[in-house]
Amino acid sequence: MSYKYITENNLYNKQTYMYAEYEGKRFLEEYLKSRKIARGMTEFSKPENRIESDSMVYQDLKCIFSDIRKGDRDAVNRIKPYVKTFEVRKRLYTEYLDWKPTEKALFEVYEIYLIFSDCLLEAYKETNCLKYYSCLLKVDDMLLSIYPLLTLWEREHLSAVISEELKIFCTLLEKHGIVLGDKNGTE
Amino acid sequence: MVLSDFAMIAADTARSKAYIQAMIQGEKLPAMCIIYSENCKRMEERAEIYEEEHYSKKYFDVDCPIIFSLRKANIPYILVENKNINSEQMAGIIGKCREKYLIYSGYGGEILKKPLFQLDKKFIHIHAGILPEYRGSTTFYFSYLQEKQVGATAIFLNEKIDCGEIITQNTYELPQEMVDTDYIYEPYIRSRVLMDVLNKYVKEGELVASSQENERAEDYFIIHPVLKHVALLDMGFHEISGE
Repeated sequence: MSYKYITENNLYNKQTYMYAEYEGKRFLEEYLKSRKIARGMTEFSKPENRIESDSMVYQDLKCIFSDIRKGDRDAVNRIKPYVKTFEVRKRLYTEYLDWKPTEKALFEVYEIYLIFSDCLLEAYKETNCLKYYSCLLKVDDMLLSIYPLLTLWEREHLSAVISEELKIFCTLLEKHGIVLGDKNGTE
Repeated sequence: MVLSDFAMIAADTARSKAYIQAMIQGEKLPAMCIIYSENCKRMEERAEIYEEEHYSKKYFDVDCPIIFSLRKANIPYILVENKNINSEQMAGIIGKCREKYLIYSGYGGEILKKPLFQLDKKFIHIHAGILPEYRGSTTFYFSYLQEKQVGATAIFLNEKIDCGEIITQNTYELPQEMVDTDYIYEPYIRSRVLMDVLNKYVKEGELVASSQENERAEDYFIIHPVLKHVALLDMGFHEISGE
């Protein structure tokens, strides 16, 4: 058994996550294993020069990320419509009008998903509300499903996000008294 | 006791079975039931061949066909070969119901559309979470992980998801033994809240509901399987055999 949510491009083969069957601790161990592999893949790569996306959504998410980090509670509310649209469409677009993607909007700008992951991490840290962590797991699944398409910089960024994701996972395991076969540590 | 103001709209699901069996056991019966399915014939066949077990199940009997229960309790029913609650056919049938309150137990993910709310009926829905704090999907698991408790809320449906007026709500302990949460325990706690609604109606002669405080509301979406596994393991679910 391997972790099954990252095997195809999730932007095209959308994961619904509905009625996921219970597979015991082995499922969590497979998840952990797949994440650790992904985290380790870019350890020796060098970040490349990059041109930051100028899309409306990227810039807005960047602003939200910065505001949450400054402790602006209202910024968490600003992330909620993005959570909703991602959960419903399993994609984020470069541009929306009344929360519907515009005709020219693109959904394969991976930087948007990465900054969205950063926002979700901060929103979870700020609120402890697991809906943000649940969404983060889905976004990271999606990014891992298209891993070969990411630039080196994007891989570095994803690696950092996954490190944070795993820290939260291990805290949750500890809180709920769950011990996995290969230890829970993120080391 | 037959509650003449109540009818039930039942999809072919575990939840409908839990509701019907709870109402029969609690002797508060709906005046009639509308069953809608893409294969009514198969539902009837299952009722014909079902052999009742002579010991009671702890929560409800998920194997007991809906039609078998209805026949046994002499609850009138009609079968509609249509799985779409928002179809014109269903709207026509619901519109002709004499009952004011319709206990709604539909298929997962269905959202009632505007024409159904123009039929001058009150749709009673039991949401598997405490409202307004836990709106949306799989709140059973989110609530357990965040607060170590699970609950259900009875509301009058409106066009916005889980935003209707609250009739009653309750929280529950988790079962001591291993039980299927999706197909047994969650439908079971919903059926307990449904019985609270019916008992309240019998006692008070009407159903009074109050609007939700939106400031406390939070929308949830389908829980990621990693978190679902954490919740189930914490609930004491054992390893899959062979591990």
